[in-house]
Amino acid sequence: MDIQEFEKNVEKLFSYEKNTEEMNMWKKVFPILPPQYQKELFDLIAKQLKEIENKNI
Amino acid sequence: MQGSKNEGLNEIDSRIEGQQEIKEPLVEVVTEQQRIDGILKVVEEEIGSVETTESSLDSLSEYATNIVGLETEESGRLMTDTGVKSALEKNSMNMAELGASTKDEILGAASPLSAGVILDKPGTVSPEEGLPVMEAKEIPMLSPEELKRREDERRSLAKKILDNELTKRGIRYIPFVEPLQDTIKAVSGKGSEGEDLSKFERTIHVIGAGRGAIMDASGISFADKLSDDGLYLLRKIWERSRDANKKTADVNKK
Repeated sequence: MDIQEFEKNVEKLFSYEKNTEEMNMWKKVFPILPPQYQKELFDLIAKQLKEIENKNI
Repeated sequence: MQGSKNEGLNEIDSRIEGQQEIKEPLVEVVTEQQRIDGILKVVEEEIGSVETTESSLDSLSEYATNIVGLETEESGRLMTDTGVKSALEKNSMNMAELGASTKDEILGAASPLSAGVILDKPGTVSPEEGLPVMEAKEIPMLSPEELKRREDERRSLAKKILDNELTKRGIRYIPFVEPLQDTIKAVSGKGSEGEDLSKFERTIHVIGAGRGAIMDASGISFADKLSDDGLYLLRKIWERSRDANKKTADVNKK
């Protein structure tokens, strides 16, 4: 799983939600997760980011 | 201090290496007063004398009562006599179940648990230095309800990860954020803003940390976050509380 891509998405998402603390937490947790959970988390963050970006268009 | 610290850590090592099971309950009776007494004793030895005015003791007692009240309200966070005994037994067993042979291995295995500490309550952990400062952006289309739903979605995944991962490692997940922060403050003697804490303030934080130490019993969930000093202090808090409780139980029997 691409950590850099995940971090980019997390940074975008939480800049919208103005929650730096949660952003830091997910960035820290992601690398230590087993692959299946990395994927699940990656997909969830990507989904939420898309959701919020679509609303802002 | 260094020598006694090493003894404390060596004891943890020997327990892990021997995969020693607890044959007798370590705690027979726990009352909030005994906990306060045990913890105060540690504080006095480790930090120095504690200011014990009438109002400060009232505050300590109130704080401890709140802790006990809080813990008994939620399942899985029991702080009753039976709950503590059960937590100690389970966690002691779990250390052996981890299958680690050295303290370092235990510390390594503790990382997901430490992550769990943070995951439990996103937003309550102080931001770390060196991480990027986010540019604030508006969210014109998201209502508070939507924000809440999104957060719940993330927390639900976090909970699933924690439940599965920790259970797999034989660790009973006990969520706590505040004791971790308390421990950092108690050990460092500094508050969130880096300000110096008074002895009384440190005592309050030690009591909060003691809650974590007692519930976790092994103290390993702090491993990723704390220095040996922190682990040592937690271990001492737990040991002294255990000893104080045991003595009281013996007296009660007689």
